[in-house]
Amino acid sequence: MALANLSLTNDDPRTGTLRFRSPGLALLVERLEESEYAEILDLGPPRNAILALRAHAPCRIHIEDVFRSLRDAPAEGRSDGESASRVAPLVCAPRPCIDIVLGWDLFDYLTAQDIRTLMTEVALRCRQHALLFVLAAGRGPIPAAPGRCTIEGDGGLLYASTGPATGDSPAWSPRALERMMPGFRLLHSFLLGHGMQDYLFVRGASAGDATSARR
Amino acid sequence: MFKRNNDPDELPVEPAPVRHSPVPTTSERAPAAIGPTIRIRGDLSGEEDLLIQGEVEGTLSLPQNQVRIGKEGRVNATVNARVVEVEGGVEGDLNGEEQVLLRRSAKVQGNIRAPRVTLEDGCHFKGSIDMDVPSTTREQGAKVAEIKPTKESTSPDPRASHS
Repeated sequence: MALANLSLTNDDPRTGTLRFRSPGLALLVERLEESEYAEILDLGPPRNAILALRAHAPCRIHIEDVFRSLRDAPAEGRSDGESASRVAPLVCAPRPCIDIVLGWDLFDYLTAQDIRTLMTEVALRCRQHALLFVLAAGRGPIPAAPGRCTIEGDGGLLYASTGPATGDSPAWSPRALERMMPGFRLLHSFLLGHGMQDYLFVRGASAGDATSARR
Repeated sequence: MFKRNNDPDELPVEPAPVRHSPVPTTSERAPAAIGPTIRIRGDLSGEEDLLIQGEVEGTLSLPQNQVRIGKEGRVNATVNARVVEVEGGVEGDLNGEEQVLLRRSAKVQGNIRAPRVTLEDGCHFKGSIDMDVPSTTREQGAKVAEIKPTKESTSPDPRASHS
């Protein structure tokens, strides 16, 4: 794993803004620039900044705002611990049209069941060789909600925390994440600094593995 | 008291033409408004700006004008306008010939198609955003490249069936 260049814009990385150079993101943007047109699935909230991806290639952007959907979902069956997944159906049509998935740091805020359910749905919508970009925090406290991420030039990533650290990171290992994503395999992983790591997964050739995991 | 003019060579005076004030352009005229207690179901079309504070279900077609869905507005419709500005709730597609703008209080689920799109921080949105080639060009089979080093042309536009 490579230690990417890191510059801080705030002394307290968990309550301020972090600027990374993410090789995973740079690779994703490079692939985007090679395409004539791409469809992007953003699992994060709607932000003007995401529309800047159009500068790299014409694209259609699907926004799902998964965390808000989970937060607004009724709390059912949680009294006994591991509950059923709270992930709502994705709005994006269930056909293989997606070339790039932006997960950001959403997975730090999902249970294992949530991730399995979500990624089964995502896999159905991904073309072969689609790329999935994920940020994950290492061990330690994290804010109560995902950060706000902005893509800057040459793989630059601006990560703005949404509040003070109040909970523990699940500290998913790459292997654990891969097991929760039927149909995806880990392509690259880079250590960004301050315990954050980026992952780039690629959608495999077989669509059957996603549907069998759904049953 | 009044002298009758009996001169036959004097032509009758045509009354001076009445000058009407010019019809204000859409930018000068106050927008038409659907108030908060109004509910409309059907197809709306027109040639003036429109402010919606009530409930509209169906289709809105004002391609030369601005449609603003106010904070109290609830629209379950496809909206076609020159500019679409949303502060309230929308379930449906927003098609802007110039721009679609979601204010921070907007709650939208649907697809947006416009050359300029603005999403204010805090807005709620789920759906797709298409800011590039007009849909007629897309349906003619614009190439979609897979994200891998060797480019491949694909079969017809998969979005033809996209809902």
